[in-house]
Amino acid sequence: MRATVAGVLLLALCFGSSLHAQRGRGAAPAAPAPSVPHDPRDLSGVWSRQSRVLTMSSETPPMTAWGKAKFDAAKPVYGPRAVAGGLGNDPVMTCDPLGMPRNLFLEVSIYPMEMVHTPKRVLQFFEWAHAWREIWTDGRDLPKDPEPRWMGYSVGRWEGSEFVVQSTGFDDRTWLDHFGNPISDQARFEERYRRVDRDTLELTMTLTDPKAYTRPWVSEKKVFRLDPAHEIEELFCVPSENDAFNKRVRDPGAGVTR
Amino acid sequence: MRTRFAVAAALILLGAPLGAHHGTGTYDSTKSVTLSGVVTEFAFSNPHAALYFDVKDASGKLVNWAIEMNSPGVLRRAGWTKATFKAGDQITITVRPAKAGTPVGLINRAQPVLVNGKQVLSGDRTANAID
Repeated sequence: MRATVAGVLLLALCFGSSLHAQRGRGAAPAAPAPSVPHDPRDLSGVWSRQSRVLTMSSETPPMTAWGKAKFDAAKPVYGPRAVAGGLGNDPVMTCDPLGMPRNLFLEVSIYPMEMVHTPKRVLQFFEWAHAWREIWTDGRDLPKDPEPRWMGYSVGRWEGSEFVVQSTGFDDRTWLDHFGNPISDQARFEERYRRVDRDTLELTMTLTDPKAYTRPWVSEKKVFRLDPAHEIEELFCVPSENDAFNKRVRDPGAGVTR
Repeated sequence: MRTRFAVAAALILLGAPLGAHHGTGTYDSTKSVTLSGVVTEFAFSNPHAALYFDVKDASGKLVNWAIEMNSPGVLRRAGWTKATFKAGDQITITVRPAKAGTPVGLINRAQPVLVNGKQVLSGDRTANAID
């Protein structure tokens, strides 16, 4: 399963540094020197993924009837249930928002993310779709009866050197992950970030969603590496360009004629 | 074009080095095919770039292949630009072909890419486009 999950996305075409010189690109900033002091309560920076599992973990908990129905209706184009691109119904194929936490899983596994501290919020910028979310750190509570949002609502607080984020109010039109696992508007999602040294950020998550799963889903530990040489690129999902891609690549790739 | 496509004799089947891995639903990650042809278009588009080029099949007929690639942002980090390929370039590129048998593939980054006889992208066996 791990290999399956690792294999599902069309990953970075990093063809080596020699190309930079050939294409006349400017030199990337030098990597930081190792082992300098850091503030464990400062998560600022661009973090590149070190993990490859595009969901909580490879052990999906049992689903409720509602969760199973959502799961069965999903036709993913990645993973063990994958159908060819032109035959799937993944929201990503029409550039619908991935939402949380799926946007985070992409950053965990493929793209870098950036975190920025402000006095009342920690902001998280995702490369996919040029999306971002805010994590309120001003002491407010989560909304009691939130209107569903693609990115949900998030509040964060420090427990020692661990940044604990609680989220709710998700939109159940999203898929939890690339594999069509469900998430409901009743879900509670906890993230625990820990900067174990200057260059390493660890994340563990717990999804508690009794409408979709019969027990909480605790993630494996995800690991990010500080990556100051990377800047978040402009990776919008552009509907017009995506439509052309669907017509010219995904559909013929699936043998579909529309 | 949308009918099943017989891979031409000129193509080289490179075997199945990724037997332990699983691809997407679209592409056959157990196959790797090296194609040579002439670029008709390089779409440096989001969220996926795509390369289109004409390849002669066994009967000498030109078939336009579509090759899926990553996003321009990912490609830019590897030094690509929208000018990496231009119409008329003679290229050699290796792909994972579509299971449907149509002339569509996913770039196989383990193999080098040649443009007008010059290697512009070196193969990287440590990390495939699907792995």
